[in-house]
Amino acid sequence: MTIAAQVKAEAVLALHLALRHRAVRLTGLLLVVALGLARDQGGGLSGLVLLGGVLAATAAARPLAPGPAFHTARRAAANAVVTVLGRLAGVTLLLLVATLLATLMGGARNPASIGHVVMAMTAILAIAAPVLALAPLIGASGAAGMGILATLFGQLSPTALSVMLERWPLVRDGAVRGWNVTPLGWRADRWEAQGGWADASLFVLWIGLGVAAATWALLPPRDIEGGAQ
Amino acid sequence: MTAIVVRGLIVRYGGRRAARPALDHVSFEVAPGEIVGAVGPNGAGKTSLLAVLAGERRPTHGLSLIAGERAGTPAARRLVGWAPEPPILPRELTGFEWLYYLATHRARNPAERASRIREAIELAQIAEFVERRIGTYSRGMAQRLALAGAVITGPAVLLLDETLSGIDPLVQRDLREALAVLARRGRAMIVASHDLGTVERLATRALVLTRGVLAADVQMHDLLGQRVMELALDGGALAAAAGLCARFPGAIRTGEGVAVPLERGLTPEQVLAACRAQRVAVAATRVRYRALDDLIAATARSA
Repeated sequence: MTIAAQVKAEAVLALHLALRHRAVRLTGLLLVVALGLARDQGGGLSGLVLLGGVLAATAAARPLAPGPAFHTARRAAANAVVTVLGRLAGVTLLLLVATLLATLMGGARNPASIGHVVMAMTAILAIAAPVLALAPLIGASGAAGMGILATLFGQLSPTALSVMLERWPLVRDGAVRGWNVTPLGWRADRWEAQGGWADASLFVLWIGLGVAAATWALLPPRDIEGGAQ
Repeated sequence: MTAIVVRGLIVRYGGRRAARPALDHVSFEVAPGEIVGAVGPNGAGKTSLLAVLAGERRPTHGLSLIAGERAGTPAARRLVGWAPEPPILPRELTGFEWLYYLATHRARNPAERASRIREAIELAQIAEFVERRIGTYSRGMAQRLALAGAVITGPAVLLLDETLSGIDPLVQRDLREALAVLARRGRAMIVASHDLGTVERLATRALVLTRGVLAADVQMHDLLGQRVMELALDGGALAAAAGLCARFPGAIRTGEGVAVPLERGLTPEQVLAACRAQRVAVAATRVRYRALDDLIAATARSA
């Protein structure tokens, strides 16, 4: 079969694995409720990234979760990059639909543009790709938990974080540096406000890192000492 | 070309400090069309062997080839169909969706994909439940779907780990016949199982693993053609059983006495004469054909 057919098979599998998992469905339902409640509050890009990021963390943890999901990738024996890109494509499709729906629901106060959706999707995928890569290494729950925490606390700007931690200067310096190199929600707001390529580049870099790490996780096992053949 | 080559395979869990390797210098070959049973007690190394050949584990040392390709490489993994124990299947999918996914990666075109799926469904006899979610399957259904998945993906070698266990006898009989047909078409198989009846009926050869060591590699027709004489000894004579075991090579202790393989021209009369000579009181005797469990017991006791 062609690579396109293999990518499609992986994307469909990822959609099935995500949509048919009760945690993902429950998260989606909660987000719809949250969107309904927050409709009059507006929220803009940061609101979209917050809601989409939580869904991304939950959904992206499923396609390469340890156990059957990961095992299917090994059994298929396809090129690991094809597998990862296909599964990320499936998650992306799910997140795109959710983002478009959320944009439409919030459209009364914040008329959406394609650029707005692209910005939101880039920031959301920068959460999804690392979660996809972390799932085989630390488990689906751990990866989803980290993604959700990053999404929730990522709304905090580095300046606000610095103020919060001013009593602990050593911790503050490290935390602020970390805040500046990770794909957190505050950066999406800055990207929206200031434009430019710096913020977009960091998001894209993290998507690339996620794909590379997930591909590495799918390579032949190294779980026995030596491994010489 | 030989379907499977294993040379000096060592698998050690927990690093070099591990007390005993899971596989210790195991070597054998399997020809295309051959069905080999891998048998032995729990912890003998059967699953480790299959995991190495399937590319799921890297050996600590040694060589393992699948149709000339190193086990674990993408080329080798594409030649292997593996049905692990327990079956590792995505509960969220239907059986058909799972097979469709696997076939998409292995078939060259949509027609071949449809043909592979149809053949696998027919072979594993899963048509009546293949559209249901895997999460609703019984254990037997899951085993049959795992077999279908292995058949779809493995053009050269099938590795079946307890795949026919837990399946009703009539379906099991049909599956054995279907696997025999695949073997006649040139597919090599290793069937690891504790169900020795299945291995005796299906396999043409048996690898007996004991504590990670390949203790015996026998042709099934040689083994099953041999006879065994079982001696039930009087209570007072049980102590002499050890002496009888030493007298006859391959003899093993049983619950009531001794089982002596009738090989190398040994006759029941000679065994009884030896008992009389050693003043061992025999309560009853029975001559039967040898089975795999005799071989496993003999190798386990000598290990």
